[in-house]
Amino acid sequence: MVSENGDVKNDNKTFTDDEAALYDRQIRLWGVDAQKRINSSKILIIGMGGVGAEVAKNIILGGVKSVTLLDADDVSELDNVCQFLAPRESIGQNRAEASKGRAQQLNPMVEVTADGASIDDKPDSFFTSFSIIIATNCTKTQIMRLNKVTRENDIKFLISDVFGFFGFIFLDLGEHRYKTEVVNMAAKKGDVNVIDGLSRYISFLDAISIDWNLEEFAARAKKTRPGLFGLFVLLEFFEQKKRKPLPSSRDEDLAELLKLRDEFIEKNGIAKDRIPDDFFETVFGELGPSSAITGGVLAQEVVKAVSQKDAPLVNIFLCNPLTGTGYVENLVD
Amino acid sequence: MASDVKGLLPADLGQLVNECNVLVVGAGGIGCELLKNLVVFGLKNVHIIDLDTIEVSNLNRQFLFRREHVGRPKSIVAKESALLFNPKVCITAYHDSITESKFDVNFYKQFNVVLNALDNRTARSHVNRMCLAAKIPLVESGTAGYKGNVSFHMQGISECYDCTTKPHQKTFPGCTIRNTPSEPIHCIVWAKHLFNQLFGISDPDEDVSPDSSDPEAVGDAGKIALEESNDTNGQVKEKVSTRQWAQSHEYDAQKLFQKLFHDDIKYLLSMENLWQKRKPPTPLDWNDLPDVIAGSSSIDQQTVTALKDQRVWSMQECSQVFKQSINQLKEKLENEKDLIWDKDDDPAMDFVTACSNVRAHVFGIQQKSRFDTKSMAGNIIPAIASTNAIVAGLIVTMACKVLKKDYYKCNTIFVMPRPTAVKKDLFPLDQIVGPNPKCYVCAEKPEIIVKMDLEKMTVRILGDKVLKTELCMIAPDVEIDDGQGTILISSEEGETDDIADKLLKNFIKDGTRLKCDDFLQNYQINITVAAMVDEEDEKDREKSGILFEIIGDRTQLNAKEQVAEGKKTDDQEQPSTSKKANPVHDDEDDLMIIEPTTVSEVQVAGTKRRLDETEEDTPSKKRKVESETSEVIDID
Ligand SMILES: [Zn+2]
Repeated sequence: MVSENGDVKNDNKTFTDDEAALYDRQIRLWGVDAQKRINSSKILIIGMGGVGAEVAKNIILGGVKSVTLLDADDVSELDNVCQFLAPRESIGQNRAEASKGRAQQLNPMVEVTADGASIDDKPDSFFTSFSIIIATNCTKTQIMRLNKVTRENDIKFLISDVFGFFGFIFLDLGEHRYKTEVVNMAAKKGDVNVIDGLSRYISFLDAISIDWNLEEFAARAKKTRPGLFGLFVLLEFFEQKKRKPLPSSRDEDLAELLKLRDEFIEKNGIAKDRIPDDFFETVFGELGPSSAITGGVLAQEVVKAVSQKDAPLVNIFLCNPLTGTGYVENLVD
Repeated sequence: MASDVKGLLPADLGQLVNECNVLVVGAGGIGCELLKNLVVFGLKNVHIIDLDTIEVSNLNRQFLFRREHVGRPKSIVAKESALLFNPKVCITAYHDSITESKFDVNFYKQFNVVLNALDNRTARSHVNRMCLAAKIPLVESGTAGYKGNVSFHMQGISECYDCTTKPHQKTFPGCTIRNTPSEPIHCIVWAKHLFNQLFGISDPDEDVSPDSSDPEAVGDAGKIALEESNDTNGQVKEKVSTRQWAQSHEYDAQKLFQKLFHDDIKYLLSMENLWQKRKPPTPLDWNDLPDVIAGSSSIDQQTVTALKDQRVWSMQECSQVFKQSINQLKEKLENEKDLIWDKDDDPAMDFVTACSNVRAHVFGIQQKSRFDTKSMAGNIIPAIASTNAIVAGLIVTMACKVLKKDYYKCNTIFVMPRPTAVKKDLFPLDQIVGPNPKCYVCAEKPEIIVKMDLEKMTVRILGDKVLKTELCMIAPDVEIDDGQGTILISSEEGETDDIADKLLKNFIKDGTRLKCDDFLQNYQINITVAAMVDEEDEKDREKSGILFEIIGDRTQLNAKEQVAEGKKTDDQEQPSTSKKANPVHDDEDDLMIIEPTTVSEVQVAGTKRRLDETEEDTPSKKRKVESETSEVIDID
C-alpha cells in the first residue's frame, strides 16, 4: 500500500523468477519501483462493457494485486460487439460474473473478484478499500456520489466510457505527486534527471458545472473541438435515459441528443457549430476498436496513477478515431 | 458482430466489413490485440501468419496465449483463442514465415487490405514489396513502450514503407570495440562477437582480438596471434581462428580467460600511442581476481535488489559464470555445428554478461547487471499491452477508411507518451506523403550506388549484408551488366557457391553495374559499384572496418560527402547506412520505427512532398520531430 507521502512501504519486495520472467518487458519500461507499486494496488472496475473489459485485460496483464469487477447488468447481444470477456453463450447472465473466468485466465497471479451488485446498493465504506476506482457505464448522479467518496478518502478516480466510436476518460487524481525522468541535454548522452511533479485536478461536479457564459470560459468555448461539449450532451442523455444511445432506437435517440444539444448550447451561450449534428452520427452502442483505444489509454493512466511515475493526463481525454484523433482538454488550468 | 447489429455501423461500412477478406501478418503483441478487435468487430474472413512459438515473456501482453500454450505456434493458438470470442468468423492460420515463396503475389491479391503487426524491418519491407506488386493497400504499425504508430501505404497514393530508409542498429568502429572501449555497450558488443567467434559462425567483421591496423596505433604494432590475412588467390583464409585456438585448448576456461583478459590486454598496452590520452587497461589474472565492481566503490554497495538479475557481479562471480557458461556451451556444441546467440538462452546470456563485465573492469568502465546487459545485447524494445491495444484499435479504424476507399483520410497516426504542447493531441496526425520519386523500392527504375571495399568484401558479404540485410531482399539473383550476363549470385541453391567466398575485386570494379532481382518480391534494382578508396578511409578511425556504404544516386553521393566533411568532429554516430557488422536482428516483437516527419498540428490531407526534402535528403537522412513535442522520438 502507498502511504500518505506517497512512499511505498513494501520496498523489500523481491520478485520471484516467475514474476521476473512474466513482467520482464514492462519492468524494462517503467522500472522495478513502479512494478512494485502496481503489484500492491487494488482496483475496482465498475461496468463491464467494452471499455471495462479492455481496461480489465490491460491491468490484469500488468500484474496488479487485485481487480474487482462490479456490474449489476446482464450480458446482452450488444456486448458481443465490444466485450470479449463474457462468453457468447452467457447472454442473460450477470455481466461481471460472466466476465470473471476469462479475466482470471489472463493472469493467475492477480486476484480477480466479480460482484453482481449495483453500486447504488453499496455503502460508501465498500469503496474505501481500493487504491483506484474506474467508473464506466454510470450516470452523472452515480459518478458524483462516487467522486465524493474518492475525494474524501484520497482515492484515485477515473471515469470512462465509449459511445459508438467516441470515447472519453475523465481523471480526478486529487493532488497527484509523481516522479518523471527528463533527459539532461547538457550532460553526457543518456543521462537522465529525475524530477518531482505535481498535477492538480478538479472534481467531476466542478467540471460539468462550468458556466460557459462566463467571460473566462467564453473565449475557450469558441475554439474548443466538438468532443468536450458532445461529451456533456452524451452524459446528460445517459443521466436521463439510464442508458447509451442505441442502434435499435437510433432515430429517436438521435432526435433526443439533438434536443439536449440545443438545450446545452442555449444555456451556455455556445454557437451551434461547436457541436455539429454529425458529431452524433457515430455515437450509437459501443464499438470494439474504440473500446480498445480508450481502454488502452485508461490502463496507461491507471499505471501512471498507481506507480506515481510520469505525468498523468489532465484532465479529460477525448477520442473519435473514425472522424479525428485523440486529444486532451484541460479544464483545470 | 458489429456488422450484424443494424444501425451500429453506417450501412456502407457494415457491408464492407461483412464481405472483406484481410491478412494479418504477425500474431505477437499487436497481432493478438488486432485479431481480437477484428473478430469482435465482425470481419468475416481473416488470415493470420506467424512463424514464432509462444514464450513466457510474451504472456504479459499477448493475451490470447496462456502458460499452457508455451511452445506452441502463435498463429494456431491465436486462432483458437479468437474463435472463442466469435465462432462465426472464418480464420485461416499459417505457422510459417511470410517470406516463403508460397505467399506470392497471387496470394496477396485475394485480400482487400493487408495489416502488418510485425517485429522486424526485413519482414515489413518484404510485405511492402508484395503489396506494391499485388497493388493491395497496406496498413503498417508498431509500438515501443508508450509510443506507437499506424500508417497507410498504397501504390501511387502514399509513400511506401521503404520510401524513407529506416534507422539501423547502431554500429561502432572496429577499433573502438577491439582496442579502446569506453562505454558498457562497447564491451557488450565485443562479448557478443566473442560468442560468435568461439561458438557460432565467425564473421570477419566481428574480430575480437587487438587490431594492430588501428590508425591511431600505427607504428608500434607488432604481430598478433589471432590475426587473419588474405592469401594470394584472394580467398579469405584464417591462419588460426579464435575457435580453432579454443578447440585446441579444449575450451579451457582458465586458458581462455588468460588469453582474452590478460595476454591480449598486455598486447594492447604495447600499442602505446593508444594510451597517451586514454586511461590504459589493467590486465586481469585468473588466480588473483579483485573483489570489487568497476564503477562502484565497493561490493558493499550492492544491497538486495528486487530482481535477482539486477545485481552486478564481482570479478570472482564473473569468472565462475564465465567458466560455467563455457562448459555448458561447449557441451551444446557437441550436438550442433554452430550456436546462434540468443538473449533468452541462459548460458549464452550468462557468457555475454560475464565477458562484458570482465572487459568493462579491465578498461575501468561501469559494469552492468545481467538485466541491463540483456536489454542492450538483446536490443529489447519494451512492449506493453495497453499501447498494443491502442495501436490495434487504430489499425481497425484505419482499415475501415481503407475499405471505404477514403485513402486521403488515412493520415499516419502517432501515439505519444504525453500530449503535444499546444493542441494537446495524444494521437497527432501526420500529413499523407506521396511516394518518394527516388525511393529504392517503389521508384519506377530503382537505382542506388554502393561504395564497397572490393579488396575485403566477398561475394557472400555482398549478398548477405548488402542485398539481404540492407536492401531486405529474400532470394536475390545478381547479374553483372557486362553484356555477357555473368551471374554473380544465384537464388538457386548451390549454383554460385564456388565463388561465394572469393573477393569482389575478382569480378567487379569501380563503375560496374549490377542487375539485382528478387523474383518473389517482383523487385529489380540496379546497383552501381563505387570502389572505396582505401587510403582515405584508413586514416579515419571512425570509419575503420567499414566494408560498404549505401548511397542514393550521384547527386546524393556528393551531398553526402559534404555533410560528412562538416561533421568530422561530431560524436561517434555512424551514417545510418554505413555498415560493418551484421545488425542484430530486430528480434523483439512489436519493434517499430517511429519517425514522424513533422508531427503536424496541421491535419492536411494531400500528396504534397515534405518541405524538408532537399538534394542532400538521402534515404539515410533521419527525419526529426520538428513540432512542439517536447521530445525527439528516436529509438535506435
Ligand atoms: Zn517507396
